[in-house]
Amino acid sequence: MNLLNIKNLKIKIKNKTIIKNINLKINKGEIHILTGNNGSGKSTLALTIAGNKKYNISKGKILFNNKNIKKLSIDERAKKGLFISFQENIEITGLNTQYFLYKTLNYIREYKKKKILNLIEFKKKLLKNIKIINFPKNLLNRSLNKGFSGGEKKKNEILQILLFKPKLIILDEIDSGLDNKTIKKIISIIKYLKKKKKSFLIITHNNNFIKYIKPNYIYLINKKKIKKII
Amino acid sequence: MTKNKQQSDTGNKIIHIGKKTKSLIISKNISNNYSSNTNRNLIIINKNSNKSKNFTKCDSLLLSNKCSAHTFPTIKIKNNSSIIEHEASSNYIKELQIFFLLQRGINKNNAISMIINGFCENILKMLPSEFYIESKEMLFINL
Repeated sequence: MNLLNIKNLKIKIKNKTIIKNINLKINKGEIHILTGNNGSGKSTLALTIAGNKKYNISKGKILFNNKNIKKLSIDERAKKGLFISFQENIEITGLNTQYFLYKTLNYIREYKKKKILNLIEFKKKLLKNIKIINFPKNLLNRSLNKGFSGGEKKKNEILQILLFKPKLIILDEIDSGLDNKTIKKIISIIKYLKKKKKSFLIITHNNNFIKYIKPNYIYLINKKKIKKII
Repeated sequence: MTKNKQQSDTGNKIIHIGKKTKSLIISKNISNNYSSNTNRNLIIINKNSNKSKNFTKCDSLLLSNKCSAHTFPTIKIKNNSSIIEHEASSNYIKELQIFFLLQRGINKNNAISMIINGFCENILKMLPSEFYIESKEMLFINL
């Protein structure tokens, strides 16, 4: 059974076609890589899967867990296990990072009908995951992404993946602007999550990153069409 | 906080009398629908209150594209050694911020209230704890 199945998809902004004839199948525990020139529509595909209303689907459908997600709202898709790490990390002034993580985790757990964590249980979980990614502890009490360095923002995204445990993770240029040590760490986390049957769709330009990650499939978007390379 | 066709006109007055006195004004307002928010500040520093300081900050958050926020500072300094700073900003909730929070699995109402609470956070913090909790909930109901 496919986790994500995109059938003959055509994406438009207003009346302009961005990409067409997309067929993509992602199974559990697979890593797919998406490459292509700047402005070729890689991020558009990611945002369309997330449910951004700016992009409309004029043809085809997206099945997630064998269900058409066209009518689901953005937050429902997220609660079903879709996680997208954006290219630009959004800053929200005044929203405490720790508070954001706590609230969001409980919203997701509530949806999955799991027990809601209290602050102490949450803190234990958080500290465990912080150690894995080496996230600086003092950032937890600052505003979300406000004044974080580029690397710290990316680490924050990875921390959220570890906490929220989504099924399909779409990473949009997670490797840009990171030092070698952090990239290695992220690769090892991706491999660890792969073993746990999580699926990835990774958008990247970095050849070394692709080499180390050992993906199952690589796609190239060119001239509005998607092509399988490997 | 104003909504529908409400118009609020609020302000405060600070008069420095003694030497080396300091004052701080932080005002935050949120406007929605067709409403307008006006904030007037009067700061007087007397001749004898040398080396006084004042800092005024007016932040406004606009939730619709029909609402407005205004700031009118009036400053009267009667000596040369005092310092006054005035700062005003207007913000709106960016679509991307909402999209980001929705994508993480927060519903729309909670996402908006998270951003608005973030906007007021630094003044709500200064309130006594009972009032702090209540005002947070009040904000949520008003939305």
